[in-house]
Amino acid sequence: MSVIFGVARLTNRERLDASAELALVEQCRRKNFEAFGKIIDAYQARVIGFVRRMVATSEEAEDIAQEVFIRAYQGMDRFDGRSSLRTWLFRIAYNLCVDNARKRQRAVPEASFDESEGSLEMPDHRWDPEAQVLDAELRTVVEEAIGTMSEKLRTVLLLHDKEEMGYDELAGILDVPVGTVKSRLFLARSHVQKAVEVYRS
Amino acid sequence: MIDNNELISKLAREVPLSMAEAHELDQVLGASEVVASFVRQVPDEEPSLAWRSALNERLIAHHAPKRTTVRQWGMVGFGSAVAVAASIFFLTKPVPPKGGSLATSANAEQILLDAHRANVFALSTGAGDGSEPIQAKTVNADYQWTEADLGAF
Repeated sequence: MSVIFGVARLTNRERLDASAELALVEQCRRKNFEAFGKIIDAYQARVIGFVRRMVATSEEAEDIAQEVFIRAYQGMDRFDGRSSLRTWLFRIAYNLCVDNARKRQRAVPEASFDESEGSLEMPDHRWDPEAQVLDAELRTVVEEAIGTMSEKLRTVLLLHDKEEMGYDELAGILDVPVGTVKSRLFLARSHVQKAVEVYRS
Repeated sequence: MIDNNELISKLAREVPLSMAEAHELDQVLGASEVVASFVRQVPDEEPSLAWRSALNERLIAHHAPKRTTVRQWGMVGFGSAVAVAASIFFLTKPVPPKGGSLATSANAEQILLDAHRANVFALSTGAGDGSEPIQAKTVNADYQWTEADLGAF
């Protein structure tokens, strides 16, 4: 069988607009492999990046990321278009990561939040977001901070701040109230901020 | 002013916030965009060609058995449909009553032959006029024999 997925490649992180996305979904429902290849091209790096930060090893991450696309391909008929394709894919990814954690009973060492440190105060406004470029060391610090926070906080942080999902979108994926999403985001950001402050000091 | 530690505690326990606390939380989140920018700059993971190739193989493997299964179930379904149709045909087919008016072709041929022979016999012996069916006369005890009858003997 000489089927090649993703003949026409999209550049990494190239966003599909809504109409193009729906057209691709429609083609996928008719088992058009090439159309599904385009969807993989558009989302593979982001899905792998998300899953990689949610599970313990690269091997697990690669396996789960493949499973995300396989399930998406198999379940394309059930995609009703009420959410975006991106949200749907990340919901699958999130659920698989949760299942994986349950199976392996991987206890994520949750970083305890020391309230006495006062790191939950308002961020230092001298940090100009535009001027903050991650160098390799700072990137490592941020990555480590993301890796050591609880799965709940990490999920919200990655999906909101990295994947730029809205509060409502996230609340739908996680099946929690919007207020809970905000609470987790705040705690997650504070955890990263604390790590960065320690590094800078 | 809300005590910060009290808010932190509520956030950690994920309990509902008051309006003022929710407002404060929104403000803090709005002011912490710099952290969000750090997270945004964390790189994606570009998949290897091997990963993509393995994904393609898995997709094809998942696709192929499905087609086989569909084909197999299609064959089973078609066979079942034929069997059901045949059963219905034989169940609803009118069964000819034994010894009834419907006869096999062999019987019909025999009947025609017998009728022809009887007709020829009748014409040659003068019994009957050849157009009327030959019917046996029923003789019972009350029958009154005529002179003609006796003369025929």
